[in-house]
Amino acid sequence: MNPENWLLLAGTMAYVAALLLTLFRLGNSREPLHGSNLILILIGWFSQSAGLWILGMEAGSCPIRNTFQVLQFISWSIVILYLFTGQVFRLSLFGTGSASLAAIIGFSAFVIPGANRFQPTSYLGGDPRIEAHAALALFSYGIFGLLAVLSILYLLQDKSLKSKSHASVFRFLPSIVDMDVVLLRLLVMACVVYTISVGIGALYFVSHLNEVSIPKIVLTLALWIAYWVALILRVMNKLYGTRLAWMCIILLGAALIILWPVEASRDHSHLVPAASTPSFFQHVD
Amino acid sequence: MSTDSPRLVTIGCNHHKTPLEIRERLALSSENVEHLHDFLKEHAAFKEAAVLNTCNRIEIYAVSENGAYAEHIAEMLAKIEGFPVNEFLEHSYVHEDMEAVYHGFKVASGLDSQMVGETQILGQMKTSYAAATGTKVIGPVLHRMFQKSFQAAKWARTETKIGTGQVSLGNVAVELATRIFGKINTSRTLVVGSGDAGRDVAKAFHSRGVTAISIASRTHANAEKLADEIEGLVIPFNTWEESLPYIDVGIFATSAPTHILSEQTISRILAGRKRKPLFLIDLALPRDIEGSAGDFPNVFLYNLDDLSEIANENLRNRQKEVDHCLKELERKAEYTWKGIRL
Repeated sequence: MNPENWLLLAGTMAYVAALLLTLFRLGNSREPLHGSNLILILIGWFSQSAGLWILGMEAGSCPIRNTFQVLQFISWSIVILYLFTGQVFRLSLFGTGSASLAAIIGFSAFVIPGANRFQPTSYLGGDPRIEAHAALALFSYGIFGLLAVLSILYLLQDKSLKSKSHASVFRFLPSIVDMDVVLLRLLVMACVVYTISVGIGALYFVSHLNEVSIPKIVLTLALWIAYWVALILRVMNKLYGTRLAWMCIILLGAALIILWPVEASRDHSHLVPAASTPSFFQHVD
Repeated sequence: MSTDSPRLVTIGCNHHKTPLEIRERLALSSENVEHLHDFLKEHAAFKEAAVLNTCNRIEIYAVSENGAYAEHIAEMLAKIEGFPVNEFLEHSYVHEDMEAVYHGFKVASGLDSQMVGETQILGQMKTSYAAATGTKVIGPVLHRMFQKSFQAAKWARTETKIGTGQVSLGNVAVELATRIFGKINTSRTLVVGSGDAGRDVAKAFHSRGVTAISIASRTHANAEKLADEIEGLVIPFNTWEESLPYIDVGIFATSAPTHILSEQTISRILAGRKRKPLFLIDLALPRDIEGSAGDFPNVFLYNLDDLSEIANENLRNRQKEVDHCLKELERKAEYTWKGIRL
């Protein structure tokens, strides 16, 4: 394995260590160690950043050239978003949840067959707009991931309160009201970042209509509309609580499913000469 | 106690050893605690001293070079409180050296408290330590003992289950409210009825900083009495239902023979509350709130049995942890004692 892959694996393992440490503490009805958790997450993030940096230097662009890199980039995005937002929101177990999701996605990159297949460096078409678009799109996946993590914590807290379960683990979960506030903020952030990404992509594609893959555009716009509908309904107090939480989890699932047809297209595009390779946008929205 | 070598001692009366009526007579005012500090400071037999004075205990931690320290302290209390010397000696206990350190660790950790694992005693011990430090009656030995006691208490609280979960109905209700609302000090609370259980839970909310408390009771005098105790606002009993759309926590403890809050009423008020959670606590028997009211999203309904079950389970968990905690505290006390130079 290359040094960069070792670094990426080490990052993923650090996230797993953060998860195991918390599970061990909770298993013994003890409060999670926030400081130790944060250190492990930071170690993981720095290691992952170093791995992605090497990959980026090799490509001369954002390291999102194949499924392996895309998944690692999403995993990295989830953690950096947590490091910024989690410390502000100060929600207990949010870090562990984020590290868990980052670890799952990071590990998936290693186990999906053919995920790390080489892609030509011209994959993003060499256009900075499309590169920015793709990077932002994946970054918004990181926010979708955090939304789903928080939604799971919300559902756990709600379920435990409704079922009157007093297992000590539930005492460490954030409060219903605090999570509701943060869910709204993350939803706003997700919609804004994803909209910017879609906007940049749209500017590129109006001048490159022959490169547009219609099914991908449709799926991208459907996901974009779905997140905006969720946000609008939440602001109107029509969608909130457990329903909003389920919605965020389902939307993340949908967003990840959209990545599969992307790979199919990528395999197809692999046969196309580099100069006419379809842009990454077609595959990763 | 016959030798005159210096020793670390604890002498005192607490709920384990001393009957309530004796502790009542012995209770020291803050002014008398100061007097006792002064006496201890001036007495040649004591190099260092600190007084821990709570509703359940009076303890004097001291470094004494005189084997008759217990008699000296009894005489001081006789002078200050007029408490008979022999009676004090009969009802008090004494711990020396390592046992005194171990006792201090147990007290700070809440293991010697009436409610095992409670944390209030740690604050009281810190206050006593600060007061003794202020009067300069404390020295290096007691400084070390108190600091190590606080560390031991922190260990017990974070590394064992001794303080896990609340064990009184009021605190269980507050903990649940915290899981719903986070910071509860801005929660608007309505108390309907003024029975003992409702009163205790309302006091627990008040003690955690909840200030917006409305009280409605059929007996206006009872409502006013409770309002005085918790700085609440009395509202006419026939208007409590109108408050429901605006409250976060509802505590129901009336003696009504049947439900006074139906599922239908909850359904109606939820339409105006949008997404705000509602925490309903039904302490009445027979119940004041229809059980199915808890089925609505964002409505969390707990009755007396639910709260009692949580409190009892938490208490059982604490008791299970006591032996392990005591063994570890004893080991820590031995280690600390080895580092103390009298």
